[in-house]
Amino acid sequence: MTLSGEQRNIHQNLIERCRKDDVKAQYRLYKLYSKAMYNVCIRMVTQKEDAEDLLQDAFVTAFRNLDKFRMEASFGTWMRKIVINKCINQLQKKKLLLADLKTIANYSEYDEINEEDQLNLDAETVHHAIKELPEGARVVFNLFSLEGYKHKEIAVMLKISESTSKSQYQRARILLQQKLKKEPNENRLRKIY
Amino acid sequence: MKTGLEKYIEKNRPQLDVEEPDDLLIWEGIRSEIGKKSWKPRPGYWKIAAVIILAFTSGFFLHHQYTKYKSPQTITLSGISNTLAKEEAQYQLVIRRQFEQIDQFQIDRIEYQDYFRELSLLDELNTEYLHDLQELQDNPRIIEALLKYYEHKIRILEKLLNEIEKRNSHENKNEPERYHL
Repeated sequence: MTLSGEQRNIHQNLIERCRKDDVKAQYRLYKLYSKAMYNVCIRMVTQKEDAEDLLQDAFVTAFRNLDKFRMEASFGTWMRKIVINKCINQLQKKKLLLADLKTIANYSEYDEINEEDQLNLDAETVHHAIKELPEGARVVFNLFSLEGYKHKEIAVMLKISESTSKSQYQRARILLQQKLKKEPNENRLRKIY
Repeated sequence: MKTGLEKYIEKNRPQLDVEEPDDLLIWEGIRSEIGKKSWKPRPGYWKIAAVIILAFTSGFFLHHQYTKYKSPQTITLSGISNTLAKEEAQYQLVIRRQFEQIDQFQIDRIEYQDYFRELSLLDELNTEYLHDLQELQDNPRIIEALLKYYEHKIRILEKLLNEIEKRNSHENKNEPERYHL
């Protein structure tokens, strides 16, 4: 997310006030980023309770370490890194991530949905379809496609090889295309809580 | 080459953030965690520490004076008296149970956004009262305002629960045939 000069100044002022333990400023900063960060969490861990705990933990870490934030990047970028690290740590603790990342993803280009096929591309459907992906594929897809990390960076973050990251991404992309084509109605009916 | 899906995600990235967090609960958790923040020495604090240590050696009176100015604690109702602590805990328990009840209904929050907006505003006010409490400490008006916050919140949640139940029973009345066929 790029910030205009004015926005950056507003944030700078807020962050300065947060550093002085101004509760109102902390709440405003929280409200500015809570939705975006919550969605990062829920797409990574899928469970509402886990996502809420991670979001809370991430903001507590951010507020306690605001002195380390140097304004070189936007607060959003810095916050996002904290959130993603927390999510990865949580998934690695459960060891499911590692197991799923070892799944050999042998998908060929021919498994891809024909580009001419209509996919159900609306934000809510895509969001929920991502959440339904298997853990390893989902995490790699989120990091690469939504958070903008390169496969090389993902490999370091998840302690896997670059080729594993690439094949998991391909697996995710194919599964996602199949989901969006096969079950559009089911996904569309899902409510957000 | 990018697929249609990848192009869609690239173009619509912000729109994919479709879910709403439970800001009231999460913020309460953050506040209580930050309140527990331990004091961390910063560059230059060693000088203050040295003065405090010196003060300890010069007797109880000076010790008492200096420790008063050590890292400030976040004051909450629970920190003022045991009675207030119990009262606050009871209110919080009721609120937690009300939220649990609401969660069981699995509502679409957008449909009840007026209630949630009101709750959010109420919480904003509460954070201001808490901020005032740090400055004015056990001022009776602030304490009363903080207790009123809980009462008001409970009332809003009661109304919300009533509304949910009302709408649910209305929906059920409107589709009896489905079950009698």
